[in-house]
Amino acid sequence: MRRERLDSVMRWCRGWQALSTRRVKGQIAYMAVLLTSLMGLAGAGVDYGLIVVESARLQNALDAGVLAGARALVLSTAATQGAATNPASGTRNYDDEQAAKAFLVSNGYNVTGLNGVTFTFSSSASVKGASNDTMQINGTVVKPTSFWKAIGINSTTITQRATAVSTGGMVDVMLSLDLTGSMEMSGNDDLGNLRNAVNAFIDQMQLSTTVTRGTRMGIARWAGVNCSWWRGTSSSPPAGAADNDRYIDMDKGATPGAPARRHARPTAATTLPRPTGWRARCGDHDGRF
Amino acid sequence: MTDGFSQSGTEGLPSGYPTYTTIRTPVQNLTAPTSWDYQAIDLADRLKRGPDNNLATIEDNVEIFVVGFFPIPYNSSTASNNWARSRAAATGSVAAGNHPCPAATLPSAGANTFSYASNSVAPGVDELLNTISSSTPGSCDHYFPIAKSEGASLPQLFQIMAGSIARGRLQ
Repeated sequence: MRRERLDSVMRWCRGWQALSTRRVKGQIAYMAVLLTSLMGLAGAGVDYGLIVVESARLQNALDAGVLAGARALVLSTAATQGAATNPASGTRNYDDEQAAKAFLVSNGYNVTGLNGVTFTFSSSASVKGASNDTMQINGTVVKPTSFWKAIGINSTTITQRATAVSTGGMVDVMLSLDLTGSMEMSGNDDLGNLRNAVNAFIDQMQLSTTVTRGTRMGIARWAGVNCSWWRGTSSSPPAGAADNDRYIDMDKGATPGAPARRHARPTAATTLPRPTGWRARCGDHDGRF
Repeated sequence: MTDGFSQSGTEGLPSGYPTYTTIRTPVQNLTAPTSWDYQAIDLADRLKRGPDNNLATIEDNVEIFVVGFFPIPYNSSTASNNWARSRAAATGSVAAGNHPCPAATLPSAGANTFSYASNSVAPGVDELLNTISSSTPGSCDHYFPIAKSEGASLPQLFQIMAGSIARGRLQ
């Protein structure tokens, strides 16, 4: 009776052993498949991670380059804009590209079109820009893969873009303009040029009533101790009346409000032909500033 | 933005027009029109220091850019109506980008491209306007001279000045 019981146990153990052997073999196969999949996923993850890192690195380089380029664009003393592609030296596009390229190089990118890295530069005028004040760079990097090659993907192309506009930011600006008579008397429409310059300056600073953290600007008209801020007259209207002309009003009288007489703008001269006893009143103060 | 000269001389000044005692040393007691140049320098200096009157606390300081707009050619005449006394405006052009200022280094007196009070007809208008500006010592980086004959380039000059104030903003 005891022996029969022992045989029964032995049979059970042998059955269990056979079953376990079959299970182990199955688990090994399962683990092999699982590990292969995991390694594949990990490899794909490594490639994906490298692409993400490269993408962020490219974007950072483009941001730095475009910020420098936009600033160089408005700082450039070159008179001409230059071709959109391959701009010649001495043009504004050339200056902004050089500034941008310096930052791209310092961020580790080859800007000569080698190693699968290419950049294209462009500039344009913003809505308020008096001239080109906005720069854009498109960057493309061909990134070789390591593990994705197993599924036929040998490389991937990363493309990023950055745009920057030159603006005054949180800066308050006060323009103090000399509008005294001498500013108009060269015969070259000096105050007309000044008006154009102020308009260009305002546009360049990107003034906006909707941007609360943008530039604020004021204009002060500077006249001088002997100028009085009343308008002269072109012929004989009452003193102080607006004449809305483009002439300097000069008057011999010393009392503000006294009748004024117009002094015609002279032809080009290096010095002001100031008649003895006359003095210039304020410059063109017809309200155009 | 100025041509740097007083419109009138002493004629027509109100009687008893006050003299001016300079703030910066050496303290001088000056009469008009000489006093106006010194007063302008003192006022600009105070402005640069900001509300707390401290140049070291830069947060509130005011940065001054000066555009000198002069007739040319340079004329050394001492006549009161001669305003063509800027050598810097008479040298180079905005279009060519070769005016001696703005620059990181002041032109030497011997170069005769910058009107110093010491070697030019008083008041040495380039030196005066550069002193009023926020140029760093030894430079004229905040002084923008231009000739009236190239007035059409004045907008370009103002844009360059705006560019030196502006910073890029990503869009």
